[in-house]
Amino acid sequence: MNEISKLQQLMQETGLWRANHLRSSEVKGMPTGFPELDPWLPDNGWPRASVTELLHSHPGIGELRLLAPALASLSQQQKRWIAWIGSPYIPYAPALIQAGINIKAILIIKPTSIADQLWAIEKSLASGACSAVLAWPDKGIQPKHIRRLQLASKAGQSWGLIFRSEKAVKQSSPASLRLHLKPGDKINSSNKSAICVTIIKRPGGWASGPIDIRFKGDLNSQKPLFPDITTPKSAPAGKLQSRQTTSNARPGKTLVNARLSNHLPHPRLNNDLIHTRSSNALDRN
Amino acid sequence: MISNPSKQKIWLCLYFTRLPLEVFSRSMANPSTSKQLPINKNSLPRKDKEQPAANRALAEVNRTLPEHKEQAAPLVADLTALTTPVCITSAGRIYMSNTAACAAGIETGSIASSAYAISNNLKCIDRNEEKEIRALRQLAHWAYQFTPNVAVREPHCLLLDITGCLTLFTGLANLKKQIIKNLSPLGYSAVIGINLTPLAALMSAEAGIKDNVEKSPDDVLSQVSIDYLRIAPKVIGQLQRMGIQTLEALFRLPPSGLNRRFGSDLDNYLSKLKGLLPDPQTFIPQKASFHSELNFMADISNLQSLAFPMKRLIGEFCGFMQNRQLHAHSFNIELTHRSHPAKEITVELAKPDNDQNMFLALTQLQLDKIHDMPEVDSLALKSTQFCPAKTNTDPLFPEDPGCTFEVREQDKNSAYLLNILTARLGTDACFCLALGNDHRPEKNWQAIRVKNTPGETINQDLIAARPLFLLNQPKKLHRHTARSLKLIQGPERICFGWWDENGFSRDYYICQHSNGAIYWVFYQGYDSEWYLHGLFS
Repeated sequence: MNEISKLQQLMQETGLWRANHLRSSEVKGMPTGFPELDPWLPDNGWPRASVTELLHSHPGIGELRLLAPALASLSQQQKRWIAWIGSPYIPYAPALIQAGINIKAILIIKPTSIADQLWAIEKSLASGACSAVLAWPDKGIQPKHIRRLQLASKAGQSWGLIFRSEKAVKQSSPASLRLHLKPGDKINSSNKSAICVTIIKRPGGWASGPIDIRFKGDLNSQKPLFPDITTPKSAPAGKLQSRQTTSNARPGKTLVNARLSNHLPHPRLNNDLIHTRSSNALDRN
Repeated sequence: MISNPSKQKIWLCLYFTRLPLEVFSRSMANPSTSKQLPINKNSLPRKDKEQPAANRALAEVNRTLPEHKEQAAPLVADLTALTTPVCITSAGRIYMSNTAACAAGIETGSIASSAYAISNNLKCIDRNEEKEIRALRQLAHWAYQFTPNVAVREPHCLLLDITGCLTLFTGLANLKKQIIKNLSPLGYSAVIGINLTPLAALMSAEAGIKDNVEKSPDDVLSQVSIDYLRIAPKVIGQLQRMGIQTLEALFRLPPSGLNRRFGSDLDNYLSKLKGLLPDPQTFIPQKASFHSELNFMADISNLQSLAFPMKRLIGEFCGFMQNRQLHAHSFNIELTHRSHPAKEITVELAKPDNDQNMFLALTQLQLDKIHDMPEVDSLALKSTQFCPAKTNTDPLFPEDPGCTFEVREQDKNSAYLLNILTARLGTDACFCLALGNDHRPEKNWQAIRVKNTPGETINQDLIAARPLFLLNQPKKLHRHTARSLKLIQGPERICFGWWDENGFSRDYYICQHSNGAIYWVFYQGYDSEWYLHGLFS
């Protein structure tokens, strides 16, 4: 303890500075929503005006859920757009709302060519009208393009997020922050998914080892509506062996059918009902 | 004459003497260095067959009224002072020529081939009356900045009721100066005639009479030749054979005799001319419309070089909107060539605006996309979609954060971004998200047209977990893919829409692939297949 205080004294008196305090202390990063990740990032959070590269092998591993808390706060706090440029699938509005994102701040842009796409990313970043720009450029993106995006992002005070293939891990890139995302542990009994983040490049620090992040929520949903089928003593983890077996013995089928039939009238049933009513009416006449 | 002098109206006639030529030559005129040259008498249009003696009469008028010469001269801004001689031909004969052609000795009315013999670099263009009338209509809308009462008198005249605006423009002389000053950058020139009745104003302009609103029309016009009467040529011929050359002589004849001899038409006309009968005019509609056209004398094959004429048209457009305090929703650009089908581009704006630089950038983006237009000989900008301009005034003590400078600046940025995105990528390439009122996952969201700024938060009822990415179409899972999936949660039955054709009953499950990705899959009862519908990204 004495040594630590001595060290602090040394830091203060000799005018030494540490590389990770290089940037002005006024700039605060955006909290990621994951306390285990924050300390690893420059200024303890996502950068507000620079390009972040996210490298992953395939979609669906939680790459958007990792960003969701930050995007949610951006969409709620700022009256600026969050642009999604060339996303591989449709960003699904109900899920975005579940994640707390204001969907009216979302702007979807679907360019057709790589040239149009890079142009749209650059213009959106530089315009100052977007708080964040999420982009899925094709393989055609090169370091010089990222350099331009980095400058545009500074000019427009906008957070650029570029989703790229895992193959780019070994390549150099001018992006100020680069993360390699890998699927985390398999979903366990408590139904929590996870993602494993490795920081390849960051300002004011070295690359990190793998950081395991466990998602708090249950896949966006605030409240699970349906019972788990993977509870230890019920049917064992339902591997879909083949079409026949699953269709014959689908877990929980009878239960759900019974439950749903209370809420949603079965079409056949409803028709029968109408039919009987009308026949009654005819009888009366 | 006029029973109530306080009610008498003052009419101003703009006579576009060189409109057939200027329709074409204005594209070459440089608005910043427009020179005001004295009118060239030889280059004046040859009057149509009805009035063969017009030029002679004009010369006569100028001779008889020598003091009017200087007055008429500076009113004409000759923007066609080009080095290349240009002629407008009509039915194979020279109809009008520019100063260079006149200097070369080409005479109005001669045959085109003889004109070619005189000058080898002569450029002859066929007269296009359609374009002239379009230009005249646009000029009428331009003249709306001076008075709301503007009437179009085809082929070459505009009539302005300036009774109400003289105070605003501090007198006649200043108003005339303003009109000429604002007209010359457009590349047009006009002779101004002012009188107390519409017909008298027309005649003053055509005959070049000095305006005198103190005297009655018949006094002012007494020396004008009867060639300028807008009546049947046959009647003029008859009058000339009677030895009547000027209006003064005509006015001396007893009206009853004229009536008996020439019918009531002449009498009506003369009464309207003198202001004894009312002469109501049809004014242009108040709804703004803009259609400005630049016709090039030579074909333009490089679309990049359209930037300068485009800038000029947009400048006119923005000036027009500024005068009328309007903002545009959208505008159209039309590229035409006589041998190609016309091409029309629509520039949509995210919010109504009047920003010259932005319009220029958007137009340039649109022009860059055109590859199937090898040549252009005419460029037009038109718009009919206007709305009143909003004025931005900052309060001294801002209470409402919605009107601060920063918010406005952000609105501007946002509008600019949306404008350039839609200009380059098309309107379908940008959209916003909204919830759909349907339980089917495909219809639970919808793409909506982009509004100018991000909107407020919306809430929805709690439903089970939904994936952040949805596939456009559910993808059938192969058996080997299905084998590597592990069910985590479900089923959630969605049974909806049985009343329309796209109804279904599906059991949705959340499952994890062996590679770690979490999928949203469903099992469909009727074909016993598993489908992938979303990714929990």
